[in-house]
Amino acid sequence: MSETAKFLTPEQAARVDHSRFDAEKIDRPTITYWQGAWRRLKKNPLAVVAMVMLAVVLFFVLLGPTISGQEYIKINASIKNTAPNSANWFGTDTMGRDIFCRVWIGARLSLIVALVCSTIQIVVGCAYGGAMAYFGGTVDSVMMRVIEVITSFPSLLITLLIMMVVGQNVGGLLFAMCITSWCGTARQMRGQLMQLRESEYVQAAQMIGASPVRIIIKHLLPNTVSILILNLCSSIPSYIFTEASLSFLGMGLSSDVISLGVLISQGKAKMDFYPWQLFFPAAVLCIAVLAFNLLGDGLRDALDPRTIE
Amino acid sequence: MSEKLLEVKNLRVSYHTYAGEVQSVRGVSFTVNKGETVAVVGESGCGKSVTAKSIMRLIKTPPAEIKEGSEIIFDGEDVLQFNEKRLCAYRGGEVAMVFQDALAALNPTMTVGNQIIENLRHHTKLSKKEAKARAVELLRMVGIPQPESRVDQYPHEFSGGMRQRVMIAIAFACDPKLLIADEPTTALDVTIQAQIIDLIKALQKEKNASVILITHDLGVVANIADRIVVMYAGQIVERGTSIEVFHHPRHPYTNALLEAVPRLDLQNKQQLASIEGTPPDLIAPPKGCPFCTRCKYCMEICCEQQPPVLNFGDGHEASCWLYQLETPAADAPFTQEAHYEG
Amino acid sequence: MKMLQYTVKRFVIMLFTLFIIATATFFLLAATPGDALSARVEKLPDSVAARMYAKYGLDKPVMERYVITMKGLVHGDFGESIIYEGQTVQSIIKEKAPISARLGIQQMLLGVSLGLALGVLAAVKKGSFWDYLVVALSILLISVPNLVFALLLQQVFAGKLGWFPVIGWPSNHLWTSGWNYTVLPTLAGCFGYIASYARLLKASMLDVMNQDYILTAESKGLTHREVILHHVLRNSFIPIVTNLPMSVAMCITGSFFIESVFSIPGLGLYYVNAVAAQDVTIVMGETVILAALYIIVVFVTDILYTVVDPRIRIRGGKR
Repeated sequence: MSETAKFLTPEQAARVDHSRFDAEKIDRPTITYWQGAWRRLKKNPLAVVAMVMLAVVLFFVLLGPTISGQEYIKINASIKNTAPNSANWFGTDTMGRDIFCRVWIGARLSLIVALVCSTIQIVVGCAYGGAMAYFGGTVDSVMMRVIEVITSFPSLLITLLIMMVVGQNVGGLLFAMCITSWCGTARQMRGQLMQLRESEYVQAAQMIGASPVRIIIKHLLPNTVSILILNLCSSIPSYIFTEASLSFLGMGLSSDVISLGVLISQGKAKMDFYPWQLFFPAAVLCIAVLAFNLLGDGLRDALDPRTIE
Repeated sequence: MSEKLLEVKNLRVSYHTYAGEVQSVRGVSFTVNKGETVAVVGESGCGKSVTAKSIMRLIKTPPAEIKEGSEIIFDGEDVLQFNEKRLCAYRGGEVAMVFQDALAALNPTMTVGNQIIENLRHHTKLSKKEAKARAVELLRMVGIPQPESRVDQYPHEFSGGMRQRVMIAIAFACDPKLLIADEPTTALDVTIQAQIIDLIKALQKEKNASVILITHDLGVVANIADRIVVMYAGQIVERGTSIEVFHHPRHPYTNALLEAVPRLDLQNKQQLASIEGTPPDLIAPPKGCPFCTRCKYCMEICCEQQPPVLNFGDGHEASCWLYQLETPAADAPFTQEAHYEG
Repeated sequence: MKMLQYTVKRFVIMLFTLFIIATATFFLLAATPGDALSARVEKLPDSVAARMYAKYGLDKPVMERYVITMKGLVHGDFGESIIYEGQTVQSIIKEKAPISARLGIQQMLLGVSLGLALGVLAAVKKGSFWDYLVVALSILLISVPNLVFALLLQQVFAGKLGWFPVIGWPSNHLWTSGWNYTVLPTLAGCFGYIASYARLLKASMLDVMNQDYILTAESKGLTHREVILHHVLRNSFIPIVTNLPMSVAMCITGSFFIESVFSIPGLGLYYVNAVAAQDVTIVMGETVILAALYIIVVFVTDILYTVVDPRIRIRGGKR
């Protein structure tokens, strides 16, 4: 630069007080972990699609049967096996019952079963995993061995056996599906908690005298809740699957209950003649599962603060 | 005058992130002559590693972007214009790189021998057997004991210092004209650091190669660098010969860096100085001097305008407003003897 | 030496696990209301029924039966089927396992190879149209249950178009003949493999591509292709290789739902029917064998880890 000969004016050369920069620093907005995750999730088009799909499914599950105003329990022989039309949007089944209503009622039960199972899985898994990580030592290795034994069971077998012992009802199904599934969650929780306990930032927090409550809220929760949320998003579809498959084989819920699996199983018997009786329950099942999977995928990226870009 | 080997001209690199465009490197220019060692010094995040990776064309685009108008001239050719074939001959053959964390930088499932052989076979016509013999020789050259048996071991079986020696053996395998060492000693014990620096120095002499040494540790630089480039917030704030920069630092940042180096030779044991504050956010770089918020001598103009580059003779340059004062700042000791040439 | 010790320890744990599984299965079966013979003896006179019960030892108290069963297990004698006279667990497995195995192997070969190819494609062309296509495809494939795929394929290609038989399986030449029967069940079952292996490999490759040693490889002047082939693939195959044994175990046990849709007389379907019919001896035998298979597979997986990842070798064993 050639302007080197020019000297600065006194105004330009006036010293700056550094407190001015401190003031500037404060107005930079800090965002919490959850705000960041939500922001990343909103930017992911697939996750947004998934949330919309879930909202639509939920809307119909809650209100679908009401808005169509059709009968789903009473047998109506005059409209047996009708194809989809303006009155019966998804057609009717062999007993003249409206499939639209039955599908959403069925989805209601399937979703409830999946949600309850997932909740049980996470609560039991957390408690068990937490206990393993907390006690450590012998307790930990004994508890770990129990998990190893349970996971060595062919899981379908134990589910079938328990269904037979407790009966083909919703309670039995819940119990049978949860009996092995919590092991994975417990293992993950244990691993994560052990790792966190050893991590330098938790030790550092302990060292500067952070209270256990603060450590749990600030350090342990964000790092385990994200695992649990992902767990939830992958376990819900798998419970929906398992319920449907078991009911399809005739070993899940008995056919007087309405669930997606029962409907698919009933539809299969008539699929050569009235394909819509199979198509609609199967389609709703796939859409619900797809939505949860997409959301889970989006959440996995969103909950990892390291994913930039 | 010695011959230019590498010339970086107006290099600008940005990273595209969710938060916005991070301007990591903002118009960096410097040259490296044949057989010379240039140290690039600065804090973490100042863009020195990005500069080094740009020279190797190792920057991932996207998310990064090397801006229009940047030039990296190596032996008369623009590296940024290389096609894939030319680039492959250039990397490893003409320029080699040593990374900070040798454990992460070595393939864990490949024996160290194979990792050297891979480099040799790619740039020379050696047979497998010859390449293996050469690999053993290279390991011996970098001071690894029992290279014949070590050559078939995996990286995790080596100690930290030994791994960095392996990295150096890989880098020097094909006699490159330029070695880029990106923080080669940072991950090592202090006692090992000097050994590695000495090794690089010895090999450089032997092979007559040029070296770009990237580091944040001025102590490492002192006994190897011919010239020093000081970077801050993606820009070069001062450059000059090693002696000039060490003995007559012109930029307050360089001065602060030097004060932060532990020394035993001072009479009255001064307290070790630290630099308050943090570097600016490069998503929205400041319009004035980037160092102004942390500078003890900050003036009004520093917050408003980028300082000019001033030449102090003998290639010693610094960008600072302090040398534009009618009377030198009384409390800035390093400006007292200022006698810049326009 | 360390390895031997480790193996012996694992073996003891394995026997213990099998013992617990057998015990739990036995008591669960015992707790199930009704029994296998009740339907068969319904129309028979009481004396004949009593003799039937005595024949299978079902007249004895639970604890005594438990001891007899466990003794049998130790000697490898699982007993005779209650439903199908004269059949033993061994004979049934000999007859049914190849059917399930052929189906499973075909599904796996097709699914894993396609899945890996798609995974490589998605990782190498990250951010491109192909990447999104693979991601969308794999999520779609995961979201549609095997069961629905099976029904759909059956309906369209066997029902509407009539290209393939609707149900059934080649009865002779178990391994080579009757390809037309196997096409639809193979397809229906391979989608899961495609989706899971494509996702697994893609994630693993992207992880490896972010490692520093890939930069080193590039800085040696290797071409993109060489970097992928020599450095990325080998390291990203570690999770794939360790996942494969589990897939193999699953494919021998068979896919219950696909066998049920296509009426394939495989192990899976037979197993489910045995449970439903409370064929105690068969269920016991199959459970113990499947659990043993599973445990062996877990062990093989642990060994494989040490083979493919030299970092683990030195510690001699567990992850």
